[in-house]
Order: sequence, then C-alpha cells, then structure tokens
Amino acid sequence: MNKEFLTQYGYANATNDICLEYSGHISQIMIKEMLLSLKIETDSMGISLTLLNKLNTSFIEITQNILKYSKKMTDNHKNCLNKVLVFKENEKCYLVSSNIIGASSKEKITSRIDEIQTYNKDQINERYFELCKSGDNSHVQGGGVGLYQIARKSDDIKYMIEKVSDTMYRLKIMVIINIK
Amino acid sequence: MNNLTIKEEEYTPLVELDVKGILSFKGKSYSEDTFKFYTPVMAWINEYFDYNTPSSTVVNMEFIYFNSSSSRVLFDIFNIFEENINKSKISINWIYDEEDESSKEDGEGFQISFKSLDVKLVAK
Repeated sequence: MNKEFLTQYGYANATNDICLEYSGHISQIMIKEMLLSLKIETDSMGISLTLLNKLNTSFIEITQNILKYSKKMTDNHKNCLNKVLVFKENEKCYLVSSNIIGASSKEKITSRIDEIQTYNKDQINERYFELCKSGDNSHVQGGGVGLYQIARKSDDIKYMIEKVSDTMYRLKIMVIINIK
Repeated sequence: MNNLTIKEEEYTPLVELDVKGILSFKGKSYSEDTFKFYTPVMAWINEYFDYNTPSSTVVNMEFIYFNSSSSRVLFDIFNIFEENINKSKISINWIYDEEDESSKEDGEGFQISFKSLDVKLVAK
C-alpha cells in the first residue's frame, strides 16, 4: 500500500506494524488465505479473543464486500486493483480497503456509512438486529447489513470516494478497532 | 425423517440435526453463498417441526465467527424456532469462549431479538 494512499488517511508518516498488505484479485480462497495469514501475524501479538473476533469478522465483511461489489475497468487495469491493508498503530488496529464500484453501489454504501456515523454503539446494535430480523437488505447486494456488522465490531468506520470515470468510483474504507 | 449431518468445511460449520431433538452448529460461517448452504438446513428444521416433534428440542450454536449473510440466515432459523414454540420446549445454547466478549454480545443480540425463546449464553 503506497504512502500516497495512507497519506489521504493521515497515516503515511506514522510508524505502524503492518499485519497484512494485499493488492490484486479478491476471491473467497484469497480471503481464507489472508485470514490464515492474519492469524499467524496476530498470534505473535498476543491480542485477546475479543479483538480477534472483531478483526476477523470485520476483515471478512470488508473483503467479501470487495468480492461482491467490485467493478472492473477494462481500459485501465492498474487503476482497478483491489487493495487491502491491516496494520497496528499504538493501541489501535486498522483495516483499510480500496476498490472500484459502480454508481448505484456508491449511493447505497456511502449513505449507509453516513447513517452509521450518526449512531452510537447501542443504536448501531439495535439497527443491526432490526435489519436482520426484518429481512430488509437481506440477500440483496448494496452494502446493507454487512456495514452494520463492521460498525458493531469496530470503533469507527470512515470512507473516501473518488470519481475515476463517468460511471465508476474508487471507494476507500477504513475500519478502526481499539486494541484496549 | 432422517438426521442431517453436514461436515465442517473451509467456510461453513459442522451442522448436526438429530430428529431426537438435538440440533448443533459449530465452526465458522462465511460462505460466499450462505443462503445456498443453509437452505437444506432450514428445510430440515421446518420438516422437523411439522412431523412428530419431540417434546423438547435443544439447539447448540457455537460459532467462531460468521459473516453478515450468515447472521441473516441465523435470524431466519431463530424465526422458525419462534414460530414453533408451541410444538416443542426449545432451549437454545449460545456457546462461546469465555474470553470472547464479542461472541457473547452476538448471543445477547439473539436473546434481545427473540425474547419469547429461551436463549442461554454458555461460556466454555
């Protein structure tokens, strides 16, 4: 993950322990292998089972979102690369993702994160279980319940959007989990 | 009606459904198509409650972690339990590692969402 990418989140100059960095095609098998790699890295960090659960669940949601919703840009392969980064800094764990999405996904995902950012933890949990029980956004694409799952398991979720063509956007999501 | 056993695989849990009234789920659940995986499970549970249901049913759920799609399906399964609450005395054990507060919170979520069901949090 290059410094320019991290700079946009204000972390390029900070020291950090990178647990995982990946750029390229995402598949279910890749997700499984990355989880295994994360396990090896986090085993040596001595983190709690609680944090491990939060990290693994958030990681799965972020990467499966990329798997389901990413678009390809046939005229600019390099620009459509998916990216995933997990690093630890001070007492926080960061998951960062970057991928190309279409306009309809952009609206759904960003409005959902905007909504989440107005809620406190209790409200996030309440809304999550409400959505699960109601069946809304259940098996439909568009970043529904998954983003709430990430919000439940983390301490902050942010995003950045860049227009890369008339119909495509680069979505960057950062999830922050307090270690203590 | 026969028992249903689905072996644990890379992205899906061990599922053991016994007509005598013990339903167990154990492992990770983050398949790409969770709905496809759980469709036969839900079909079995529906059939279980339609024919000669035992007087008591014990459900053991022990998930290491699960994705949001799995969560949605688990809610569908809990809905089935809730709909059939008069056909069998249903006890649900949400089993978690005592050091995993996050998993405990997941179980609490089911307790709150399904107040008519007997959902116990079991630390191991």
